Amino acid sequence: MKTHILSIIATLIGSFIGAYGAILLKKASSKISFRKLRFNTHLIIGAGIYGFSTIVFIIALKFGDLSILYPLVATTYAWIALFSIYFLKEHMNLMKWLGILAILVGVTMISVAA
Amino acid sequence: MRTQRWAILLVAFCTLLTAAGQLFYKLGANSLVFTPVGLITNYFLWIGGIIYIISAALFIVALRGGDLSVLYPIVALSFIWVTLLSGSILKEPITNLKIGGIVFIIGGIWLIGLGSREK
Repeated sequence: MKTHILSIIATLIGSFIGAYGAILLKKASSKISFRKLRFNTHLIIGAGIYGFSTIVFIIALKFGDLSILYPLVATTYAWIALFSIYFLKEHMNLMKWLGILAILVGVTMISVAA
Repeated sequence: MRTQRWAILLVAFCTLLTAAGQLFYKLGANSLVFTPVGLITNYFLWIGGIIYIISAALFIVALRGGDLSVLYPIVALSFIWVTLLSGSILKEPITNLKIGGIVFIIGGIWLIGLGSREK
């Protein structure tokens, strides 16, 4: 199946948005533990954003090939790495960036091998 | 915060759960009767859905235990589970390229773990 350009764009935007959803879920997690599962704003909005991006992927997959779209989905890891520095004050370093790169390469290898 | 081992293991476990949930979902989709009664009695869909929800809840709890930039990449393990499951159940051939990809993903997660120990 040829991959429609809109699928590619939608997947990239979905990854970007989904990464931000993950940031919110991380913020929500500080208010949640095994003993108390309470709902908070970050949780609801984060889950909503993440769920929305998942639906975007599912739709994009209808008009495109896994072998191209999966590697694009994997860019989520890179976005999260960037966002975590800015929104969560986490630290990235060369090792972690190399790790992200390795994961991107690995996902691409798995996806194109069909 | 230094990312704790229980959180890493829990996220890895969640990826296994999600893969199992996907399996049930696919089984449910195969036998799908698209009517209200058909949907309600499709037990595979129910089990898959419940597994998904449990996996998501556990994942959020796991996020308490460390950095998102360390924990989230572990989710990439799901690509490995899907490849292995497709190999065994759908009989899709696991080519050398796929094995190489698996090695890269594991290596990448390992590198991130190493990198997270610097302070």
